[in-house]
Amino acid sequence: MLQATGVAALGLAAYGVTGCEDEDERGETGDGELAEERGGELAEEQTLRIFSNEPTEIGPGATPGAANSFTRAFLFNGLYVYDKDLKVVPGDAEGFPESSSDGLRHRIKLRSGLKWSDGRGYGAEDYVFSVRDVQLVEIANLSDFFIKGVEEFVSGETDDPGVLGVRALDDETLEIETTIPAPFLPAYLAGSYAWWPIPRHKWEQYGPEWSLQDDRVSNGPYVLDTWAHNQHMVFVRNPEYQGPAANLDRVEATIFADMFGPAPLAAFEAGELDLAIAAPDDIERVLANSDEFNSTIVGSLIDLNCIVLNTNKPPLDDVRVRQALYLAIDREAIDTNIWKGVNQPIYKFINGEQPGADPDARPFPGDGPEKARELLSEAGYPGGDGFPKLEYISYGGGYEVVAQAIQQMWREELGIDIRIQALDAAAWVAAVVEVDPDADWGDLADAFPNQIFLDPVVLLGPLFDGGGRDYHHHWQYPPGLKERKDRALAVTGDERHRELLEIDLAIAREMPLIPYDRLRELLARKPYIVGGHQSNGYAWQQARYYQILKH
Amino acid sequence: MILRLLIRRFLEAIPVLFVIYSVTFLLFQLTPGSPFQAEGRQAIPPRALEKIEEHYGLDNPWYEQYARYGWNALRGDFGPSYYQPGRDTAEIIGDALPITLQLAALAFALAFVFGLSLGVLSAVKQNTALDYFVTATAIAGISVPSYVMASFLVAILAVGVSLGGTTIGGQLLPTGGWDGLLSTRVIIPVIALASYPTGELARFTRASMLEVINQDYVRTARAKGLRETAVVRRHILRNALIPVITVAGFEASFLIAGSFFVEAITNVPGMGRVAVTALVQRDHPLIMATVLLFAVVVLVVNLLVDVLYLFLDPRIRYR
Repeated sequence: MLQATGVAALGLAAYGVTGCEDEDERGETGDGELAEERGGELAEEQTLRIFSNEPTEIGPGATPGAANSFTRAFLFNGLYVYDKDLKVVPGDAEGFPESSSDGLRHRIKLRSGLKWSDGRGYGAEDYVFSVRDVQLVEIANLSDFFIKGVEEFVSGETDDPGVLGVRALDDETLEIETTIPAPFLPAYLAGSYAWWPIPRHKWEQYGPEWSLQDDRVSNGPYVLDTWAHNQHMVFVRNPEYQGPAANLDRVEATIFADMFGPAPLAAFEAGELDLAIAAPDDIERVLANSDEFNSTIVGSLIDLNCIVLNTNKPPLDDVRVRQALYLAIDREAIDTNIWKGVNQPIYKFINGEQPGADPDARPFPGDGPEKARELLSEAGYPGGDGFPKLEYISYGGGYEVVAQAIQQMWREELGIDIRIQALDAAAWVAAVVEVDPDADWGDLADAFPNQIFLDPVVLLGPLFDGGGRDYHHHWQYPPGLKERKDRALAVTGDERHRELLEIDLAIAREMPLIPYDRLRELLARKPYIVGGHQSNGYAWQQARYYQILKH
Repeated sequence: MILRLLIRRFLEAIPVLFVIYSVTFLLFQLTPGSPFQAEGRQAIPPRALEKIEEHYGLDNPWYEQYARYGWNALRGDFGPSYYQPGRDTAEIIGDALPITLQLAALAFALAFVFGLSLGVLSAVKQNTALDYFVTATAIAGISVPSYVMASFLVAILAVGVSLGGTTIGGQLLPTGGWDGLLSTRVIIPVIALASYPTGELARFTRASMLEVINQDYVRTARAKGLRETAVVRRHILRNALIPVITVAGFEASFLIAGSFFVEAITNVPGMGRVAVTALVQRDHPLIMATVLLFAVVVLVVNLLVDVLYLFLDPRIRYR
């Protein structure tokens, strides 16, 4: 009854939802609950009021940024998307890829009749154009390393985008080539917006600024109806959309100078918004009144806070020193006192919903500061005597406070000292990430490994391979571990999970990076908003599935 | 004489603006890191960054950038924004400036009318309960920063405050935003912006009035039998206004150039918010344009004040 009511109320029948694996999902809220079980009826008007910054671009392959992420998740659709339960489901694709026996070539059949919001059709050739000729060449980076040709392109070996392993076999069939077996390919395609298509006819008409024109088009569940710069945006349904159900009729986004500042929460409390993220200064108040705010902690897919160590420089070239630094950090104290319980302490690299994650597994189970002092003494620095003063490059803001806390912990537990240099974002990137890998960039620095899809292939790949791509730790795999890691990434099923866990622990024991917590945020949500999975990084893909109860 | 003043001020403004331009440009060059890496914790891939910097001419030598940008700025062309592609800096400012000017004008009008009135009343009723009340209120207005006032008003009037289980206030006004000058959305930002200048103008007017009240010519006017309102209006106020005009001018330029925090808190899409966002994002063209714009505003307002002096005080002559 509810499903029929839901469909009628939301008018989904008109949208040709051909990709939904299970039609029953359309009437459901997130976490498997039905709206009626929450004690409410669906509101006649399914309008969601959210917050945003001014987007800098609204095309799929836009530069990183929260506002850019959420607008393209509303406006565009990829081959695969995350559904309300954070499972990967076909978007523009019809079913899942067929892979060759060696796991390196993957054929994806597209749905028939795909159209942009202006009615213009598109297919596999458009995908190839978008990815190969426009987007991947612009943003090919760490997360794309396993796509054939990307490494050569990124390293500058070639300027020919034709080397990229993507082609159209016919108008409805795409073939993607990878350098390693890629069972995680659908997850990657769901999270990598570079693989979401752009309208070729608009690109050819306007070039890179096509998405900023008034006659922009979309292939996602919504179109951008109104954009008053720095004021608000309004999204309405795209009549040509085909894909997993989107429940909302309309989304109104108020644009703030800082979407993670205090103003959106104030607007939420005043009843002007349906969702808001609590700014750091408001976290305690929101947590203390969690009923009033209906707040939940939302976790990013993979967004880690770590410390990168320059293992080329003594004493960090000694694994016992690195382990001692790791063991002397009280992660619970950092989370409780600095992040107010919102972030999640972590002890290794694979966490959350990823294959290989085990929240109870530790590289050094049962060990703490006592063991840290022992290791430091074995390394030749009993009580910190003779230990040099290390330089720590901090990202600044809240991370400078974390660095100061860690400085205090190391001083008290190990008797060593560090000097903190806090930089703003651009300066930190220049000092830590963009620096010449062979240059002496320093001793320690904040590091934020992140991955755009739910598989550790990047965390266990370029993050550690070859001395570190973005974070130059210079650590090399001990004999046999890299081969074991590459094999584990290629298998599927439970064996993959077990193998990845072991490899994660093995790398964590070497400590080229010290993980300490996972970025999360506190989301306040009006009680009449139901549905959507509690993830942050792709919250706006989840927002498609929100429903509004009568209130 | 006014023409001479205008010409002189224009000529004086040139080196001032040149120095401001040069210092700002130098700061851009000296600040480490690319302006395009200012957001988020993930670096833009090198090839993408190269293309972006090439697009904006940042791959040219610094002196070429300095000359080209300066020449374009002279013609009012500050180029495209780094963070709002497809939008020129002039377009962004063109959207934001009228909003700030409207807010500032309304706040200034309120501050001028109330500040002057309260100051006059306070001076005329010196050492009475009214005087003490006005003085205390003025000090409160001066002591509370505008962003604190804005936060306070939002909390009380828009959000509501919980006291012993009861919510006081809340949902009486919107938290902010912009729907034009006649919308209820302007009430909180205008009051927050006006509170400081109101207090300051009230205090200055009172002090200036008291200084003039004791002058011989005022005693003479009273001795001649003039009504008190005529004495205040014709003899006291006009002379007392001269220093007040200086302060009012400063407040006016501050209202335009200093609305940063109030606009951020009340989410008004004006110049203050544009400037704050530009600074955080390191949007160089927008930063340069706002810095120069604010400098011009201050120069123009100071000029207007000086011109006004000529009418208010015939003794003043500019050489």
